[in-house]
Amino acid sequence: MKDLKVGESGIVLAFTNAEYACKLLTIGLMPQTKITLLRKSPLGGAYYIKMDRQLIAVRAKEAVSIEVEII
Amino acid sequence: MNEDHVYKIALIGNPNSGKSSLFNVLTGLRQSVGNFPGVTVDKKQGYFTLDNGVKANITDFPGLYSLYPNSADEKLVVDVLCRPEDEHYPDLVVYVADATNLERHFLLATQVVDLGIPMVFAINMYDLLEKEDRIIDTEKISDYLGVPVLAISSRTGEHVDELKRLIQKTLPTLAKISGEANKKTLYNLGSVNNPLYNEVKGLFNTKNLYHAKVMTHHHDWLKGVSDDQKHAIKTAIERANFENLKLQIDETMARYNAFTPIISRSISKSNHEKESFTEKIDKVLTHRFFGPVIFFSLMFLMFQSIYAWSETPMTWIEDFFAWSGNAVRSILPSCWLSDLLVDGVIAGLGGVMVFIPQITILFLLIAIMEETGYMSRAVYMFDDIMQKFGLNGRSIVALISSGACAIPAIMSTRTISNWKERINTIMVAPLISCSARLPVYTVLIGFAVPDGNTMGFNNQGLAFMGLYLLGILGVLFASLVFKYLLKADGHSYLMIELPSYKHINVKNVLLTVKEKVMKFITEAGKVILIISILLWLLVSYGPNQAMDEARQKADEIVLVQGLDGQEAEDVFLSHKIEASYAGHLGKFIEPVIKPLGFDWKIGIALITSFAAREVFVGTMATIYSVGSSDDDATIREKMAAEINPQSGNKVYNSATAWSLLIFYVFAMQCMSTLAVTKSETNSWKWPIIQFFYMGTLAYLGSWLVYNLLS
Repeated sequence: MKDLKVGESGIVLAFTNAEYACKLLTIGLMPQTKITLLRKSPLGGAYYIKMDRQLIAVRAKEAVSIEVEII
Repeated sequence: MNEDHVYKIALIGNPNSGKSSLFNVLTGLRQSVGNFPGVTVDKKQGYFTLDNGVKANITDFPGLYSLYPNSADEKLVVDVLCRPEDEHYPDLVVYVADATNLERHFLLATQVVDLGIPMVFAINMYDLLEKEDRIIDTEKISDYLGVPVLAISSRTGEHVDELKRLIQKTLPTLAKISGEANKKTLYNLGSVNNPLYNEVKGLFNTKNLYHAKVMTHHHDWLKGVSDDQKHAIKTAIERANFENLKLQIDETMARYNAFTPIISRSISKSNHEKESFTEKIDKVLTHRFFGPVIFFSLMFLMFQSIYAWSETPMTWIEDFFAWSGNAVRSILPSCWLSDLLVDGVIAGLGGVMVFIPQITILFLLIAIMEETGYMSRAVYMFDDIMQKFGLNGRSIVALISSGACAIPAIMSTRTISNWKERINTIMVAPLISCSARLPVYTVLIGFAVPDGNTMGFNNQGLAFMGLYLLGILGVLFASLVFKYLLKADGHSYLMIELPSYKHINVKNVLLTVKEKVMKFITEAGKVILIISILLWLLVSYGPNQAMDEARQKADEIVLVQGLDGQEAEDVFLSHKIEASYAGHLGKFIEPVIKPLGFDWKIGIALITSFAAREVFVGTMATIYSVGSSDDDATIREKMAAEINPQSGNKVYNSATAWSLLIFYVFAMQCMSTLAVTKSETNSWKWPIIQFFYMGTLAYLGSWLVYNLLS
């Protein structure tokens, strides 16, 4: 996830943190989901993400545990 | 069917599914807000009557995403759904899902179905789906879930009557549905953990093995699980090598894999790639640079408009209470009762009610920010900054609300799942200057700052802004200190939905505002009423001997100076206050507050202010209106004329006024806030810490300012 640049999309491959993965799964972010990094917060600590038609925000340091294949 | 029986219906669904607006449509104004026992999670309840005269009691539960909850709000819902013996356990769940995002709503829905609770599945926001020319096959969904399904729109009211009829049709068949409790669950549990689940099923007599699985996951915090049962489950878990997290993930994935194909067959695809209206707006509103600029401009405008719009209605309220006081005086003969009513009750109540316009406007603007979805954007933009201070992005909601009142602010922290960040937010939120401080600032700033302009700005206005900024600085400083003092507890994380911008549902907004304002009036009103009466008693009565002496002394002065009429009355009353119980109390604490430049009269106000800040003005009103019957002079004029009997200087000089202002910025003078902190943290420790740390800040700040200025 950390390699994803603003405007780029990727396919989620796996999660490296089980506890955090649980929370992401409940809102439908799971392996094979396509996500797009729309923008970063003013200090860069949070990501504004689009998945399907849904818009969500996550913390950059937590999103590190989302493994993404850039497309 | 027994017609006297009241059915219990629960509205369950994800946040932003339009659950609350459906609740409003179903119940109309027949609703009330209370608390669930033991916790301060809002319990919104209402009634509606079905066509056949059967009554249904409907509860709007907090939104959640799955039966594996994160925050206190969500845990409450899971707790109720897991324990059929709970008084809120529903006969029927009306599950509310958002049609435009159906996949995400199925996780919780299938879980609740598997718990064996009868359900009606309402696909909300159907009108938005129609707008995109998409169609939905409710029968396929109904076949899969095994429950009746209906597409509705709570916004337009479309099919809501059908929903009521569907509920009516489903209720009599409840017994039949419950009888099927042992039918196969949608999620296949597998057999590995069956011995464990069977054991838990035996312990609690759960409806099925899935119910037992959920209880196994949550046995630690579910209510009604005895220590013996906890111990039994723990032993069984160890024996079975039960992997909590892994099993949660497995279940979630399996559910998605099962229902995703069903959903794609039941609903026509939308154009995913098209950039939505919301995304276009967010390009500006959440822009890295313009986002915060817009946010702070909005905040500035918000507080500006609060002052501008509330001025006129505040005058009306003040006039009304002044008129009521005079009316009571003219009707009742002059006696202790009319004094109590006018100087105690009416003056005290007037002091609180005058805030209603400000509070209403602030709550209204906050409700609009929440309803449109802008608040989530603020959380996203400021989370990283908040993190540096040991807070959470969601703390921004609490800090803004605190500008109105710390009570709803502290309650709003329930959505913060990390305990450390939540406590930190609760502890610092009351440092933001709330509307109760406004009248105190208004009265005192006149003494602290002379009229005039600096660079075109009104000096007193600048001082006002300075006090607000001081409160914000206090928050930053205190939260940094708490960040290092509080022990970490679990991982902090942020994952927040940024809902599409919606038209404001005026009814929803107005109901929210009404609810919050009523809560403020009843909560604050109760305290103020009691304090005002108590204070009036303390001021009017005193130890007999002291009162007699005061009377004699006053008589002497009147005789020696040859005073009569009004002047004699003034001398007599001011001696009376000094001799009263209140005077004794004020004198008792005078040595402690003298270094801050306060006299015993301010001392009385400080003591009464510990119940609620706004009492300061009321106390001054009581002390000075009891001290002189000249009704025309305003409190401020009376205070300005006050002379220190020892030094002959004015009591309210600039140094004392500043010292008092600083004291009110920092001190924790609100019993209601302390009570809410207690109930939200479930411990006396936090309100006590809050009280003392804020008191210390206030005392040191005042002392410093007084000594610098005098």
